[in-house]
Amino acid sequence: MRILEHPILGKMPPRKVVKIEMEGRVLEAFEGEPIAAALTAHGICVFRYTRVRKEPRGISCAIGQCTDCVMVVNGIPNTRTCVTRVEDGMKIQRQE
Amino acid sequence: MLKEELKRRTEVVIIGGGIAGCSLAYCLAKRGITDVVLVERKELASESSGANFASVMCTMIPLRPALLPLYSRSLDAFPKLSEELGRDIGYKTPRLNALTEEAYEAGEKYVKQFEELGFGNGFRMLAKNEINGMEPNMVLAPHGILDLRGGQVNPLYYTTALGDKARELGVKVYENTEVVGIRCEKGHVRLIATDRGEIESTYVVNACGAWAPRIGAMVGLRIPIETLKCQVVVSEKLTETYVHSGSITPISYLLADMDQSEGRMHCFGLYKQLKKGELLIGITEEPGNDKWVTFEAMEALARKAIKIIPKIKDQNVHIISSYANLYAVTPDRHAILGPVDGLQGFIMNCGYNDYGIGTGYGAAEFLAEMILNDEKSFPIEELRFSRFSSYH
Amino acid sequence: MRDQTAKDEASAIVICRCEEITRGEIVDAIRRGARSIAAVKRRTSAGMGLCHGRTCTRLIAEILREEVGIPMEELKPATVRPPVRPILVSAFEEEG
Repeated sequence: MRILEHPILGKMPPRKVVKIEMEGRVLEAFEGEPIAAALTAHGICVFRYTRVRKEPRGISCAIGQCTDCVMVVNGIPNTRTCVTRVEDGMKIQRQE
Repeated sequence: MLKEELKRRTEVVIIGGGIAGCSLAYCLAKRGITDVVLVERKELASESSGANFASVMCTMIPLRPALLPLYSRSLDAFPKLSEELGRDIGYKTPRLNALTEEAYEAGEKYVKQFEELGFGNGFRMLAKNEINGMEPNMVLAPHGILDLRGGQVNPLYYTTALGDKARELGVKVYENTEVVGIRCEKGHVRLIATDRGEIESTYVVNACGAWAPRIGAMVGLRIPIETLKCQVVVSEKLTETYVHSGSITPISYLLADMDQSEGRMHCFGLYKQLKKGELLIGITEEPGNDKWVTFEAMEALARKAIKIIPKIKDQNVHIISSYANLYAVTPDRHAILGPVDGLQGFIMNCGYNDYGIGTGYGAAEFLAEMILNDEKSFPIEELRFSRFSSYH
Repeated sequence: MRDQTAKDEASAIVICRCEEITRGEIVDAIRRGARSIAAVKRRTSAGMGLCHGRTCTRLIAEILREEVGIPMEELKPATVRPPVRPILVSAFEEEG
């Protein structure tokens, strides 16, 4: 999801590196990028397991519509990680 | 898509595809009476029966003895209906009513009356603070009444399951079909006229909920039903249990008796948690005949819920949806059931106030028996239409 | 005509991702009498989850068309009610 050089938009300008915490792991991320992009960059593709069928879910529509990518962000469940920006010190957890 | 051709002649026409109509269709069909047509203006459970507070209950305070047989027969059926209908209808017990110190004596009196009327084994007074043990996440008055077999049901699954099973057993169900007139001759109903054609019938049942007066007008009857608008908000599915019982009701709602003399919106703190985990946060009541959800109601419901279930604030629970429905309120808060004097074949099955889901099935059993045995009057006198006026 | 294995596999596909309702459950609702998206919703809860049917509505319409031949133009989405996006209950609290 991270595009560092785009054929039309050009090179990504430098961004501040911040730290977020995902279930005990401290991860580096760019300030202001979608949480989902940061997790994907670290190889985390499964964001939760569904309640009934225990199926893995992660990024699906990536435009904030399908709610597949939701996680608990700073204590608030059902936060759409594909449209929520990373902030320094954010705590991310998988939800039930 | 071509619509099915209407059946031109039948024994029973049921107008209305909510809990009243669907229950009656099923109760007739399971007795072998399948020459039945159910006509619904929109779709099964598309009105109040599909947007209510999911309560398996009957009015407790003030006690309405005439309604108890309806409730009792429904309660006898609920535990087996999921299997019978081939659908999990989401029945969950019990129902709890919280009581303040001041209301304790009144509560005791009512439970005693239940016993005297023969329904006592289902109801009991809770000991002081017993209710807090049963609902540790809620801020409640210290006393309570327990209705062991009441609680909640999924009204959408329940109503559609009844209608679908009736259809499977041979009842003709015509959705998106509106009744535009009813013809009577010499004191008998003869046929209904719909927007797709006419159907001759021996019996015509008015099961139209908030619209029952409209059908009554077609046969020259004034049915004294007014509507009350009720709003509810819904949370996301929660893994934790916030409400343990099937249903919890505070004293203020029991006493309100839908007295809307001030004409403004009242907010009562009623709560349920459905099987999948979503919280039903209810209810507001106000005069009205539309189903638009208002911000005023959402705000009042949310604020009240935080006071009574403080954990929903700490756990960052969201409101994800809402709905509104219309109660069909009668002047004496009793349902209107059975035949109408002077108009043979016309049967009332309406006016269920706020207990349609809890009593509709029991009422349907009585009505189905009445039709099967060709009886001329409804067994519970207090519920007959004749208490209002005679056919003119 | 599909063979049985393909049919079973098709039935197991999750259509409403929020409520985890499968194609088989939706077909079952149609067999019992559902002839619209709202009617399927009432019998299965498909479309009642977090995304309010944004993901599954079109798919349910296609299944209705496949199973009973209703043209897509005749299939209207079920009523969507407020709020459009989840709102924290605490957001309604009195100020101060």
